[in-house]
Amino acid sequence: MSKQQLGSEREFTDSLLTVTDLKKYYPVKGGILRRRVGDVKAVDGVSMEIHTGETYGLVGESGCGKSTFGKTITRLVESTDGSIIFDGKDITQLSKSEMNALRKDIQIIFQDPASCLNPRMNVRQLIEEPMSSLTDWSQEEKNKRVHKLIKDVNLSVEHLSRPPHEFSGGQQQRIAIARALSVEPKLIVADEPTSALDVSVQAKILNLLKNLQAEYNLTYLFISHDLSVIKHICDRVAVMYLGQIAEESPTQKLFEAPKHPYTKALLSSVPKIGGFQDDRIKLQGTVPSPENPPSGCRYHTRCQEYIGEICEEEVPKLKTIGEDNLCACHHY
Amino acid sequence: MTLLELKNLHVRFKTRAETVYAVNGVNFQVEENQVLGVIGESGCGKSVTALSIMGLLPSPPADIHQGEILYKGTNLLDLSEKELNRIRGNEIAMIYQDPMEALNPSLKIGFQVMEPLLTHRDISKADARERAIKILNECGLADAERIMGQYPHSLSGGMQQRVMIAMALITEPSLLIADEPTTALDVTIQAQIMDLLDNLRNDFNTSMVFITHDIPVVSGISDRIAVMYAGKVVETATVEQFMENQLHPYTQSLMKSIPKIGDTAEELPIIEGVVPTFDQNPKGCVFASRCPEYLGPECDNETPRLSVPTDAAQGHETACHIYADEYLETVSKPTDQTIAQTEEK
Amino acid sequence: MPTPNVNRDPQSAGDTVSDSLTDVTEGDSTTDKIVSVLVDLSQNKLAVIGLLYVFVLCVVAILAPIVAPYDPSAQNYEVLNHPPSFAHPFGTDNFGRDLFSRVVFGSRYAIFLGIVIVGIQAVIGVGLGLVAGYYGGFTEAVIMRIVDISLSIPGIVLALAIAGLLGGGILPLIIAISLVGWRGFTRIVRGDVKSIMEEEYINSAKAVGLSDTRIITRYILPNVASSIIVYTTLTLPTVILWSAALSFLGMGVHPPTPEWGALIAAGRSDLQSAWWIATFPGLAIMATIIAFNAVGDGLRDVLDPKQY
Repeated sequence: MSKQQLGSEREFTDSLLTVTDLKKYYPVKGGILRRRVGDVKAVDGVSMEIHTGETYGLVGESGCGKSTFGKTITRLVESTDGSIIFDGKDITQLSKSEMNALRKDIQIIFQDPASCLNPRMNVRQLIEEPMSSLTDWSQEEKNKRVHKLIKDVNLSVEHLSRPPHEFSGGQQQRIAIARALSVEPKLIVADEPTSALDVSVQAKILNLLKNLQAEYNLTYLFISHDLSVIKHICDRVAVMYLGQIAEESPTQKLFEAPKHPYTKALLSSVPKIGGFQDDRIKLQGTVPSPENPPSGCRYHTRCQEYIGEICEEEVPKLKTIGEDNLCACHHY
Repeated sequence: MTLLELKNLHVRFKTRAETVYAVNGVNFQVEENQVLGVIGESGCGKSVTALSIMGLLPSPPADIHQGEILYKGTNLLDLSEKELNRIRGNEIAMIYQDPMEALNPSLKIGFQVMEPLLTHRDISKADARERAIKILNECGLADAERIMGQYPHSLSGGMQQRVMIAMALITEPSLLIADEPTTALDVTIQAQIMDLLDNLRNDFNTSMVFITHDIPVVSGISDRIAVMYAGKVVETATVEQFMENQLHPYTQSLMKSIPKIGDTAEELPIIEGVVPTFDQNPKGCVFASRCPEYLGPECDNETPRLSVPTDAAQGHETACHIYADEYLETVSKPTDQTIAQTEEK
Repeated sequence: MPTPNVNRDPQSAGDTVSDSLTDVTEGDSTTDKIVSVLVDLSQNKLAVIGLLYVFVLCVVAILAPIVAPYDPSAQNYEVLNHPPSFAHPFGTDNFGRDLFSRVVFGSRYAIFLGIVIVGIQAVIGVGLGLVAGYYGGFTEAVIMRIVDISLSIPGIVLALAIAGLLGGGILPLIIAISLVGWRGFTRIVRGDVKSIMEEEYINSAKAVGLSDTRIITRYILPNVASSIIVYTTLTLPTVILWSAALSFLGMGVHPPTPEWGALIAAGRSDLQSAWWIATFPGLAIMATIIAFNAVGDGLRDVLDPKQY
């Protein structure tokens, strides 16, 4: 299988994961009786469709709900509303044991490699554990796979007997990747996998992820706040703001011709070598709290292309513009 | 006069179990009204360098066993705590990556912002309060009066950062040391803070040492750049020289491995190996074990010195053996003699 | 430390082992871990002395019949209330019994009671702490309220009451102190569990479909182990002291059992005339407590200096 090209010359059509109107609210308790006085609307009506074989990026700043989204679709956190259809089944309806059977197909890689590996286990145990828990492969089979996996992530067999704290951040992330791959999942949710790593190490991990995708037939949901990383590895990108999707588009198009004002502001804020561009959009203020999001379009309080009352009163729907570009803005 | 000059600074950490040589001969200068960007990845010693300028390294275990830190001609390492306290927070200030390293969670913002002024200047509380509100405004906090009465935890990360900057700049220091001030911030907030720092340093004529691992961020604000690796400075240049052309193999590799928005490369180029740590003063070039331009034994044995190579622009220094005259024509053929870097100028 | 051994050939980028380990610690078997802890501990002189004392004490307890020159209950009317001498290093009591032998045999009770009681406390306390910390919510609230309420009554008073209700003797003593001492374990373990739950590797375990039991035993328990070990060593002296106290007050072992607290009780009335009868057992208790505390402090510094 050839390596994926940026901008998607290959067409991905089969739907692997379809999320419809997903919501995750955290109750806020207050007062003497600790009653529910409101909700933190971390994810507030997100829909998307991820196709088999693609790398789907989800980008947004801190507090936008992208990490919560990642945890919700893997049911590490229970959703409040909405459906998640994976491989034809609605996983929100599954019981714990049924969900466990599916866990073999969906795995997750976390941001901080040091804290996602149990310090009391050695590398071999860490890589083997998902297999022992989610499959009934023989010990011999598991050993074979452990040996193959450790080499696939560019570490060596000598490393298997060591505990995770003896490795550098980049190496720990590779161990986490080997662990996720061990059960041959269909979908891997990568939640900021390179954010805690140095730039030079980040490059290695991104290369590794790309190479493994071809070999293992993987589909990625790649969550990050780093636009340059997203640009490098993703086929399609969705931009998230305050719990909702603002825009979704093939990568190349998003960066060349962004539609949503937030996307435009975000792209212009990314520092480039030599400093910011001259026509940079200067965003005022900070992101509003998800406990009390602005009415209508969430972005209207900071929008540089604010139209008028409609932005404040009506929530814009995610519409299709062009053939493969979705945008939620009253301009369209 | 050179505002700040670090001469051959060496810092090591001695613990019961081991000794780590964190800074191994750092040299750089900052002039008045100039911003020096210090670039390096984790483990290169940039934070230790910053803390040693401020005299904030706990010793033991830290031991500044060689070198000088000259501020306006005076060696800060020779000063007593009392004398140093007159300079710290007054003429030299520091801001950090995590604003909660500077802010006391149990004291009100107003008190903390006024404190440096009250300590170092003969000023009434009322005047100090007025100045504090003014500088908080200048730092982009519109609701300054109300914020004065709040506690740090009521503010968002970006706002805390601004308060920390206000605290640092209220005494109008000559030198501001910024240790990764925007690393933990979102891209849009980072852009705002960078704008703020740029404007403030112009208003107050403050020099800055801006430490980061993020090359695009630092390139916008700096006048000069110094690149650090494994406790040493491997390259210095003006920012224009640096963007146009990198001399040191480490810097070249670093630039290549950054994913850039305009890039369409398939695979990102990488640097093999890991950053070394040292349990004694390192000999030879610290990048030798990973260098794609490795020449041979002289790289392992001879420590290259920072100097301007023959064909390079004035002021663009690097510490690398491949620029020694003998190598300029024969880059891949090492000779038998031990070659020392020739000094230019 | 030499610079890492890295393949300098750029052509092999990505094919060979590109990163090397900076610090190689051989093996991770339990024996090796214990050895490395002991090596670190040996830097702390006080802890070493404490450890030696504990070791000697255990040997003495096991080999009591050999170490003790006389039968602890043998009465010799010719040497009533004799002060310390060559024949009787700790003197004799009002029945002519050799005090040294009695103290030596008393060490058996100290060690036995210490281990058994702390063991029971640990099992109850750690178990409840794990459950409270992991499940949170109502379960945690209930357990922690029980702990808080029981902590409002001074432990020794409670233990005394329970032992008294059960009529005194060794078994009631064990039950009483066990029931009172598990609270500390629960507090500590639950706190640790709560902070571990914040760690991403718990999520990683859930993502791999591990059952709650497995997560608790494989992920949480090993990571609270060091706190438990330290707390055990620090609780042991308290248990020994309380056993002695209860026996001193008559609620513990029955005479003529040579338990240290009982020995002090017996010698209390003769403090003016025969000071040695109460003093030597008292010194034994003091030395044991100090020794265990020193070891506990040392272990705490070695295993997790960041903690309490």
